[in-house]
Amino acid sequence: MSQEQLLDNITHKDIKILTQRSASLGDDVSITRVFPSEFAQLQSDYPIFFKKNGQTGQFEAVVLLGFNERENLYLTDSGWRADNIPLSILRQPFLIGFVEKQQNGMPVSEPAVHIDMSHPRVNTQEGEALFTSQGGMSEYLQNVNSILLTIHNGHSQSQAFFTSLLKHELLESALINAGADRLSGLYTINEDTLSRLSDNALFELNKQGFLQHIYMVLASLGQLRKLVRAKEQL
Amino acid sequence: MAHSKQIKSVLIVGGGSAGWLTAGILAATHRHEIEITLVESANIAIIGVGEGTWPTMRQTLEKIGIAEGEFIQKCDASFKQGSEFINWGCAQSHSYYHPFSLPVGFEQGIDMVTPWLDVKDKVDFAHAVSAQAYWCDENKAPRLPSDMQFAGKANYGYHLNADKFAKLLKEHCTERLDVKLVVDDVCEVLADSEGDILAVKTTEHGQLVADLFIDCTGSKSLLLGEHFGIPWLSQKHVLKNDSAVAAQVSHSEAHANIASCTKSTAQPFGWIWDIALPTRRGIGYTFACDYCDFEEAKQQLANYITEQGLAAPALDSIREIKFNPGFREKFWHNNCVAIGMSAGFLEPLEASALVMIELSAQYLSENFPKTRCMMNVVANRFNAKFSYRWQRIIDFLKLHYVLSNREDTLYWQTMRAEHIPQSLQELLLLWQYQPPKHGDLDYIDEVFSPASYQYVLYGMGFSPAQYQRASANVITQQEINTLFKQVTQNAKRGLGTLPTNRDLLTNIAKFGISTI
Repeated sequence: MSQEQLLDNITHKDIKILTQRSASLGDDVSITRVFPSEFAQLQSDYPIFFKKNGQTGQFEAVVLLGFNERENLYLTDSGWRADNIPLSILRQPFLIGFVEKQQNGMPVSEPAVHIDMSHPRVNTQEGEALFTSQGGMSEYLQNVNSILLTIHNGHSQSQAFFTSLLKHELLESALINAGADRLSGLYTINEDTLSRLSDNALFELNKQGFLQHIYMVLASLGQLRKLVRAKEQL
Repeated sequence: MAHSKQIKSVLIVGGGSAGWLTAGILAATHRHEIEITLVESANIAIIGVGEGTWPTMRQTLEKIGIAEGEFIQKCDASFKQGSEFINWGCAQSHSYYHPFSLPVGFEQGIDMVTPWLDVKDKVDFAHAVSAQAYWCDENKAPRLPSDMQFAGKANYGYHLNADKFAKLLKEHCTERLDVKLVVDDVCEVLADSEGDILAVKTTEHGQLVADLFIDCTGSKSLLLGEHFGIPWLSQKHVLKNDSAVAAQVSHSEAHANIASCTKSTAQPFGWIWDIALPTRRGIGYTFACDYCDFEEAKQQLANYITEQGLAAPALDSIREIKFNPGFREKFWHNNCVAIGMSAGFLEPLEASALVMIELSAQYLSENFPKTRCMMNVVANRFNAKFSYRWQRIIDFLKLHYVLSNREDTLYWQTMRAEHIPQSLQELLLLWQYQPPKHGDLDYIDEVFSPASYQYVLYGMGFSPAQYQRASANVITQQEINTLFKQVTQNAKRGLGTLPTNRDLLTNIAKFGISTI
């Protein structure tokens, strides 16, 4: 069970975080959420797909790391084999929570850094410290902060992106056969619709910066072959 | 020659669910060839019957081009997985489901009834053959948030707000399907020398001319009934309920469960429907006024509402409805066809009102007459088909009563024993010796499939004289057990993953439903 706490420099002053990549530290995932602002960096390492969130039914972007449950083909004994690691992996064991505050007498909820104390990365012995001896934020924690902020902004950006894709009917179900494994529930860009988009639609998508995201997703699909090869070499 | 005249224009008289559904279904296919106009009165309120649909409504909406998410949000709709019948078998502590999904093995023609009879004391029929029964127990939705529109883990229909539904259909038909709307009152019907309707005269828009007229004027039946005088065949001797009292009641709390089936609870003189929407519960008592007056009915309705833990409305705010159960001798006469309550109406026991509108409009759309002389053939076929369908619905509704053991009132004693249609008597005799199966009924497109008969028969506790498995039967007991197990496993999986009806609807209100 996860055990989430609002982070502060008194309760958590002695907490350290293990930052190496390993299955025992929770990196054994076969799929992870990504955000449009990451597409450009991630597309040379991972195949990017879309998937519906189980709770809300809303589309979100993901990268495929393996074909079976808990199979992460990027993970080796010597760490994570890729140039860039998705932010949703890097943020662990931290997450964004919301705290109720009073502002001009009105309750507002503000995002705040939380930590999952039951996460295997959390300990008091080794790894990166969160706070300096004076109680200030360590460089590591500042970095975590900026990752969480990017993710937080990524949510609304992601929503606008998918609203636009749905509007232009640019999503289609992806049929993926990886050897004997058949992956379901993944979606990708419909290239036929894309090639038939009107000038106006293209202009609009480009102005919003979505056209670049779309091509990054298409370019990323080549990484699927790499993933299949990695699987075959197991 | 008039008879080679092309049919180019349709005038639908009357709005409401019947008029607008018909307009939508016709326009979805024919809007480029046929001019479709609907005239509705600003002065006549729609009756708003039929707040429960069949699974057919999913195909209908898809065909008309209304997205499921939009429909759910705009009509306060909820998901319906079937009906639960409470205290029909006997006056106390009896209940069973008629779920929309077919019994396991049914499509492959496997008889699950005979093996179920061996274990009937341990598990009721619906729970033995359908995971949906378990999901209804827990007020689950039949689908996941990530399922694309109109798809789910089980067959489902909807509960809806009929006023809002008519409004959505109207908006969709006029804005997206080129249906022309005239708001006016029809005051006269003008006919030609052969009896065909030439035009209807309106108060402000003069004459509205068309080649085909569709009577959706409700029980008034302005064209088929009043103008042509086609008789109404009352079925009151078979189905005695002819009155209803109805109320709309608030949920007990904002997050109260929304049942995913229509609950129908038998009463001393009829039965009470209970339909849960996200916003309210629609609860009404349909009864026979030969046995019970409106005051007594209102009191029984109020008692039910109170027993549900809800606040009963003031008795004088409860709406009174009178109806004459039955259908027209024919539905299509000359160049006029009746759809909706103008064609027929029965107590809403199996939510037949909206589905008969869908079936009628769909038949009309699929067999739309190209010329006036083709129309006569289509009309004859339509009449035969829908007379047959109304009779089968009557059989099926009567079945719910004849299988009851209730003897608490003269009403039940009469409903159980008297005026059982010959066709139903024969089926009941047949089913003494073999369970309902494919082919027991005449047509492939029966309104109620033999599966529905199975759910009601064995739910009601029908005990056959003897069923025997043919000794050379290829299905082994082991295969039967596998199918029963499949049901419980599927049920368990769904109980773990499916959201409640309330949670899913809250989610849809926020995020909609993906069209892909």
